Amino acid sequence: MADLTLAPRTPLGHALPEQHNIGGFALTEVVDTALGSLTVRAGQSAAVADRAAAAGLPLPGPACWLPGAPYAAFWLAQDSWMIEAPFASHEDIHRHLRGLFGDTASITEQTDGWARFDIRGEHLPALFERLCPVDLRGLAPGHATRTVVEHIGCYLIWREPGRISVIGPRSSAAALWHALETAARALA
Amino acid sequence: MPGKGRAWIDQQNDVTVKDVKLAHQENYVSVEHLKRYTTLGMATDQGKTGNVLGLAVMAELTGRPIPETGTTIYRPPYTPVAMGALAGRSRGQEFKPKRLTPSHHWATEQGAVFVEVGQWLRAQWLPRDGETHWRESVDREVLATRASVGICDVTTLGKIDIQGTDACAFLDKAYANTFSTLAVGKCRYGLMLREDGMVFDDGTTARLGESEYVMTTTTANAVGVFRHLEFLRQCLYPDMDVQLISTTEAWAQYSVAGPNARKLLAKLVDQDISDAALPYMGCAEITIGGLRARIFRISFSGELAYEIAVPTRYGDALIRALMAAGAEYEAVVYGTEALGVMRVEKGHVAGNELNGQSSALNMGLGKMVSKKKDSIGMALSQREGMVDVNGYRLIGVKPVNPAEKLTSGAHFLEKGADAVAASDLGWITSTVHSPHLGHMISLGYLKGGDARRGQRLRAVNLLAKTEVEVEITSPHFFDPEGDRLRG
Repeated sequence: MADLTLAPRTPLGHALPEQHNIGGFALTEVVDTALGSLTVRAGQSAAVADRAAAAGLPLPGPACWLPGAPYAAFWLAQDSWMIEAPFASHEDIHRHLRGLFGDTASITEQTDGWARFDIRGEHLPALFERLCPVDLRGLAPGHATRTVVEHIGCYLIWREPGRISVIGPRSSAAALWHALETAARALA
Repeated sequence: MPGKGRAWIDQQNDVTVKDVKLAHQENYVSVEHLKRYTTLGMATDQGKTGNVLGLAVMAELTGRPIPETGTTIYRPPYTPVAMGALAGRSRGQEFKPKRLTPSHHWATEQGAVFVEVGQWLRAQWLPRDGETHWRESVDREVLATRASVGICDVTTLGKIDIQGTDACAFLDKAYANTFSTLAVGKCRYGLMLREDGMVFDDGTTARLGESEYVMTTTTANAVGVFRHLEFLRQCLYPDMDVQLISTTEAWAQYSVAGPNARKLLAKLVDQDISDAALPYMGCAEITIGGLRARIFRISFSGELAYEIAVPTRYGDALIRALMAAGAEYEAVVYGTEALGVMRVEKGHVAGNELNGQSSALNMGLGKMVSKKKDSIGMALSQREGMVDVNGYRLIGVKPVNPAEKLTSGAHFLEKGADAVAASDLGWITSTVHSPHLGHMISLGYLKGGDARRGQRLRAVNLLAKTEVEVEITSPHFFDPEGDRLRG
């Protein structure tokens, strides 16, 4: 084995995640979660549901996120979910999910495709009405949707009353972070 | 109305009293009808300069007061608003988001000059101390790559993960050439046509497992190809068991090209990557210092070349590790300009040739369109007009006088022909300076081009006001047999 250790960088390009408090909002770069997509193969819906249930892996309905340990999940499309798991134990999430689902589903590692920023604060609806067309006032925690923030396609995961994750494409991490900071400053 | 001649009401939309009278005669007396009939008040002033006047004329014609005649809806802005206020923050650097490559921080440290490709910022060239002209940097990057080894961040190329028991059959539909014969652990260049038979995109697809592929697309078409494949999957072949997801951003990918590419990578890769273990067009899942990685032995530059991919968080560390390991070979990083020079030297098509109006046959790739299977675009690519032997063919171009410059967009004319559309024989698509040949070279499309190799024509550019005598050649200027990439 080559005598070599490659040091990871966060999506914002640093050794450690960023954290920024602006007014009543706390913005955090989150890198402790592995992501893998899970899509049912033809005729395997029941098999996937059985295996997921046996593993305690939630398969939420449209526009939903469901927590769980070690696996949480949000809905991507018909018969398709993004699975979340702790990075420390599931860095190779593809291998873990393949072990659970075998050939009943198509599984793709997605961890480094995305940058995740968690925003904590009391006035999240006011913040997000500046950022995207999603009106949180009519929704509740557990809601997960795809939207656009400053031209960037993102997932919004409303995890608990005062906390939302914005998951956007990793290459646009800096632009997305800037958009979040700018909107937060406008309300500070 | 007193006075002679025309009396203007709406200065912006050229509405006169006569127009309002005509509207009245035609019974467009309601103000909303008057507005639509004459365009009164529809300009950017929203009627603020002319509406009251126009309504007063109509009121007089109908014998009613203005309030009874009515008013139309004024749309904002009611008062002048600076364009900057409407643009808000969306200006300058804030106009659109940027996409940064995994080597962006490293390239910035090197003083790279960046170019926007889609929203990506890619290194265009990386000047070194003392280099004052871009050509010096680009020539150095090309020569160093062909002499030893060069590295290029190719993360921006689209990557699409394709899985499912019918993935293989699906690729046979999506690509004009055959993929069902591709063995696990192998890559193949694929040509994707639109339904009308024109070339849509190209790239290599690697078979990582029995029903697991990763497709590469051009940078600019990454989203378009993904959307196209989703259309095929959902609408045309809903019974196929195939699943797609983009992994463009999930992997940092570098091309390592040149005669010393293998020696450099062998220092980092834990597995055997000799020619026997990983022959040309092979691919494998490997480790680098124990870290999961992928390697593809593919070449755009025409050199012995590999693309190596690691999870994106390690992309910055990998470019530094590659440069450290490459120091003994005087490795360089090359940008998109050098990439362009090398692909033109090899006669590979890129965006300027993949212009949406060109078929596989035009590109000299007609034999890639398999007639043994049905694929998107195959049937229409065989239309009479599409297989004309005198149609456009991809050719190489060099100036008869090596000191003369070629310009893209110049059109080919016979000697003595007038520079008019009727005499037009084709055009130059891409032009670069080849540091190996010491002069400019071009690719272009020329009517019946295959039969014209060796002929001399004029390349006339009326916009640049240039005329150059050129010789038509094969598009393969460098190592036409491909010995280097199989080395």
